[in-house]
Amino acid sequence: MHIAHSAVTLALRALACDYKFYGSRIRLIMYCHQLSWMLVLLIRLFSCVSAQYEDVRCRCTCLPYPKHNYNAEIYTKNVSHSHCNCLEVVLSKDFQAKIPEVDWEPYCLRCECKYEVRSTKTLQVVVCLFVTLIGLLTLYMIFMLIADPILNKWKNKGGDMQPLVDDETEMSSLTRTTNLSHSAVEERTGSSVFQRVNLVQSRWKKQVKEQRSSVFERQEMLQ
Amino acid sequence: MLLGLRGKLNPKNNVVNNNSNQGKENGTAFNDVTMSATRNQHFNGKSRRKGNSDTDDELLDMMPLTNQTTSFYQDDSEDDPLLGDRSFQVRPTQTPKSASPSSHLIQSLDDSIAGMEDYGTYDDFHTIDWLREMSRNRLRHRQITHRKKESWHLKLRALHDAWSGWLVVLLVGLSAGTCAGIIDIVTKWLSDVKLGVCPEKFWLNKESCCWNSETVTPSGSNCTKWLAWSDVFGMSAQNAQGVYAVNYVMYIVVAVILATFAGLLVKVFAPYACGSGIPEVKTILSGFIIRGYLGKWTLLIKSLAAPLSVAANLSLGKEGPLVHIAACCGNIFSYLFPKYGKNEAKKREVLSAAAAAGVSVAFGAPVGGVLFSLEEVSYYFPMKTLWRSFFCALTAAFVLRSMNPYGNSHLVMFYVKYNKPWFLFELVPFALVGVLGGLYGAAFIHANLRWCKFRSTSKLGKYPILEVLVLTIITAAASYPNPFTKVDASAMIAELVQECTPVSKLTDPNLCDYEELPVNQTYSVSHGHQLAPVGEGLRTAIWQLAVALIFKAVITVFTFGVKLPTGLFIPSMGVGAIMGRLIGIGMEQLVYAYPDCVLWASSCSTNTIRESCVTPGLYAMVGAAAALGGVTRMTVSLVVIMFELTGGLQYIVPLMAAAMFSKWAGDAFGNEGIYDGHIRLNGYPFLDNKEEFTHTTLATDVMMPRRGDPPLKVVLQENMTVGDLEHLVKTTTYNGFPVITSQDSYRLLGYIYRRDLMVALENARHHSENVLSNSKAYFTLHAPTLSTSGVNEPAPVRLFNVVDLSPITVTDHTPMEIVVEIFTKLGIRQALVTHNGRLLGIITKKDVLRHIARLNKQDPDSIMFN
Repeated sequence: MHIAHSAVTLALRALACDYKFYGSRIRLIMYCHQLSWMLVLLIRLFSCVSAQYEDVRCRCTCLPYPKHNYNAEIYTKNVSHSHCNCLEVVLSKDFQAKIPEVDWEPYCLRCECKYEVRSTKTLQVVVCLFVTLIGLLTLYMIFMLIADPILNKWKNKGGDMQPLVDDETEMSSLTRTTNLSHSAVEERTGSSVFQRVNLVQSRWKKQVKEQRSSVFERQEMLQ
Repeated sequence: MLLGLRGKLNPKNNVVNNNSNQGKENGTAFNDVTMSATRNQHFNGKSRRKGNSDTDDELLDMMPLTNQTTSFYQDDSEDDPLLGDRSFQVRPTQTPKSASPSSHLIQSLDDSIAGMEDYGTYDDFHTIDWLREMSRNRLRHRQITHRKKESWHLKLRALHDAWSGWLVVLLVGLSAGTCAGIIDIVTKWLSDVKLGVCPEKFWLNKESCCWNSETVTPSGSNCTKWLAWSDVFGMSAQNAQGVYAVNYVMYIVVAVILATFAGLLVKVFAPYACGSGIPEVKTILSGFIIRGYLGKWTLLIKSLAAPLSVAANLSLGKEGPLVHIAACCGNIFSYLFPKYGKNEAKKREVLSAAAAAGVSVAFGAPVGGVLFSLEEVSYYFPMKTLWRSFFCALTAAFVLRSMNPYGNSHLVMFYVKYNKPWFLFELVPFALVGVLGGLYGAAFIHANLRWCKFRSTSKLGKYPILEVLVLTIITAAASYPNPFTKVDASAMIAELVQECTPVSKLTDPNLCDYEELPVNQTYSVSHGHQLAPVGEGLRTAIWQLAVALIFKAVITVFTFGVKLPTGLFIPSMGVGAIMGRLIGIGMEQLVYAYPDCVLWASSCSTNTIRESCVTPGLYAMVGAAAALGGVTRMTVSLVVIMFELTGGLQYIVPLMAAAMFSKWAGDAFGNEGIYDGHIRLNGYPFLDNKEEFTHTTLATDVMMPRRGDPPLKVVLQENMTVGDLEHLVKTTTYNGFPVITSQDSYRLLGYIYRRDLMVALENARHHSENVLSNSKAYFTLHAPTLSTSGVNEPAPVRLFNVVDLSPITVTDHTPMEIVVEIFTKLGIRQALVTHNGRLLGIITKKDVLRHIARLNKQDPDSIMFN
């Protein structure tokens, strides 16, 4: 996301500079600037990064220290890789006041520090994508369950021929498909996108129906 | 359609009368002439030499090429472009030309390239002919290399062709890695959704939600950003029982919702997305066509349903499905490159590489993936495919690593940090673990196959979603109280393979609770774990582990095979890891109780405060390998996967020992792994190239037609009309017909594939008005011309070019072991049986499979899709 964002701004800036160089079309520059800022804003809004969820951490797990009655603790801090050690993470200022300097080292021996990286943006994008897909598929499922029978009824009343008839011999199906592809080529300009989508959809439905009957009803495959 | 096909397609293809006539005199006509292993007969001339040397002449006593036939062929290839406009107008036979053969060939290739695109490939549920596909590819390749000097454009095309093999595996690797990363992330999130929610950012899992909470206790209890379901509903923490009950119920409810979604998605959109997919991928790689099995919808639904079902806490994994998902990617991307998309044999090379990528990302084990593809899934695995698989696995692993789904900078969840040595005496318990794993594997395979059979034959199979729901409720209800089954199985394995360090005592207090022995004050985190008696917490943990072991072992039997994406790797490894850990703890206590035993007295030092010389985590690792080995019967790839998975390079020998013992113990109770078992159960036509055929039957015992069957449907060289042929194609469902010289002699001329015949007839009708039903069809080289047969007569059709003139033939006395060898090594689909040159019958791959099944006392009719 970051990369995309900076790329967009850079590209737009470059565009703008280009025009500036030629000293003309000041409006366009303004427009570009505005656009880039809007895009930046949009991306900012979309990515909604907050400082609380930074993507690196240093995590120190410390064993109990009976001498000073310390329980086991885990200390976490946002520091870079080179600073990920007990001295900088665990022995922060208020902590240093609590125990004498002599005991710092024994206590640090009881701590194990690990540097970890993650990407919240990846998590967000992936999970949102997943949820969206599931949502879309659910909607489509509901649509197929409810709307399809109605549509089919309507279609049958209208006396429409089903585009795909089951009981065809292989020979005729072969001829039909070749004819079909010919006509598809001819009609590419004429036929609406909707019809083609419909055709693809009905073909797919038929496939799924076959799969369902072989997997679920006849139990021939994937037992 | 499918039902119809299945009913009709009997491979009792053909037969023969008892007509005799040796027809030896024309031997050259059909023997020397080579295999037209291409669909497109223009290529005949080109493929001739290769085909011949590849196949027939070693197996069957063939005559060498003669000059006569060579000229013959030039002729033919030149003046007979089947798909060209003029193809069916018979032209006067020409005198052999002295021009160089290659230019003719190239020309004819040029003409036919458009026609080649139109050729359909195989029908659903058919087996492919490897030999034919490979020589088609060689031909295509030769064509490209020949023409690349002509122009820079063609040169570019040749270059593109050369690198497309690498490009396609690169794309497959990238997509497989992305899919795996997405699945891993989503699974982790969904698993945590069972427990609670991160209200600020719902897409974060528990660990990420508490990413920056400073100073928490090791059990993570005071992370305030993550809310358990009881907190969401506003339960007060005082009411402990109520909190537990709410969380318990929510756990089950969420699991049920997830499982329902998964079940519905699979049922509504892509039924082929259910199951592990490895048996089917294996069958497909052996040369079987299952249309839609590796399609876009299967990919999408399997990728979505796999995390859902894993997160529903069912005893299944996403690793097996990842192999299927990667194979789907392979299939989809191969369509971008006609070289792979249009050639089933070449496509299988990509699929082999994709399978490697699948395991590579499933376990973060790139080398293990390549070996898995080689050992377990692939059927045909040349060196070239090995390198491509290597590259594909590497790419996929790289992508996954850059997505960093586990947040630990490793590819895998089970990374072990310890570096403890193991001792020689431990090979005995390792072997024991191996044997137990093998026994478990054998028992599991047996029970699971029984249950799957029961499912498909009883009414249970009619209610797939209900079955999933019941299983989910039982699993979730039984899992929640036990801390080891409450979490993901892979998280449990990750926990079990760790050693006990002072730090791990904080995170899993029970598993590492040994009785405190007096210790010196300056110990630190780096100190190893000491040999000590079992403490109270560990005693509880042992009970919990034992219960989890039994539960997991039993429930997996019922889970593997439900109509969800179900992988088997993780559940088996989970069972093995629990078993191994328990044995490890037992071993440790044994060493503690009898420190002076000869076996380990020298290895384990006898100081008063001893570091434990037994690492239970290592036993868990070995146990996981053993159980997985018992179930799948892998050896080499298993060991490599295991050490890549854990990073424990120095534990190769224990892992090898366990894998070997596991295989021995398992093989004692049946030779087949779970995947082979499922292939047999489903009756997929999989001819195993690793098995030997040991019976003494002859080809004549296997060939069709059997005694009393109707004779073989054959095509005559002459004397058949277009109408006859169309009738033959319409009324039968055979995939091909032998071409014989005459009804009297029954001498074999060649073999014609059904689809080729159909396309040729179609084209003939399309290109010429004069081709009518009563047009004569000639399968001979020299057919009468139009002028000689009269003006108003229907035009004769010459179909010589669609005939495969070099079908693989065996004699009726060829032992079946040789026939089986021919089938497995060459990957042919059918062989014709002759006696003195007279056609007797045909053996198809499925006949061979049925024969083997009959000899093994299995039901031969169970072989799928005759």
